[in-house]
Amino acid sequence: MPRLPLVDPDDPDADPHARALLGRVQELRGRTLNVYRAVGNHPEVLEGLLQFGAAAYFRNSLTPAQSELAYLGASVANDCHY
Amino acid sequence: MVAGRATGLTEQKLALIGVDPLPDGVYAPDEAAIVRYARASSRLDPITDELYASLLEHFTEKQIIEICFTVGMSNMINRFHATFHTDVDEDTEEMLGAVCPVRLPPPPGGSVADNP
Repeated sequence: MPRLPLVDPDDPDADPHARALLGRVQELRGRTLNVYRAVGNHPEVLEGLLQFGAAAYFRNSLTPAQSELAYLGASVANDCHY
Repeated sequence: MVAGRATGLTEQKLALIGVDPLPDGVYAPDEAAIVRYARASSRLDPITDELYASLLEHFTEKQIIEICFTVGMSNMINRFHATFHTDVDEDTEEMLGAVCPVRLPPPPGGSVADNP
């Protein structure tokens, strides 16, 4: 059972900052994964995470496969369920 | 895993990423250096001179920073999911298909049978 609600970018009652950030994710990545919608409960943290992720993972000088081996190698070592 | 497939990683490389020690002959030397580093860093093992040298053999210092922080971001997000028990996206599960190359741990509060 998840402990956080997922922010719905289409919900007019959702935080406008979070909605704007999730809209940008949708535009850039084509979909809004639950991880972003969950972190969207703290829009300032989500904004920082997106900037950091862009620099470290999405726009680095490694090949996509090398980046993914770094990310996935850590996730598997941590036994992450997600 | 979906992202891994999208980058062109083979099913074999995905399936063996958790096997310790890493099998010989499956990963290219640069890939093996990344995976060994990612594991050691995540487990808070010492980053030995040998391990660091294996990264330097294939990557610039700037790239090693990128690898270090990609591993760090994964650790941060992994702890987020462990704390908040985030559900895996339905469309991600659909894209993954019936067979996941890596044996997943049970979801929080679930059992191993939930992720055969």
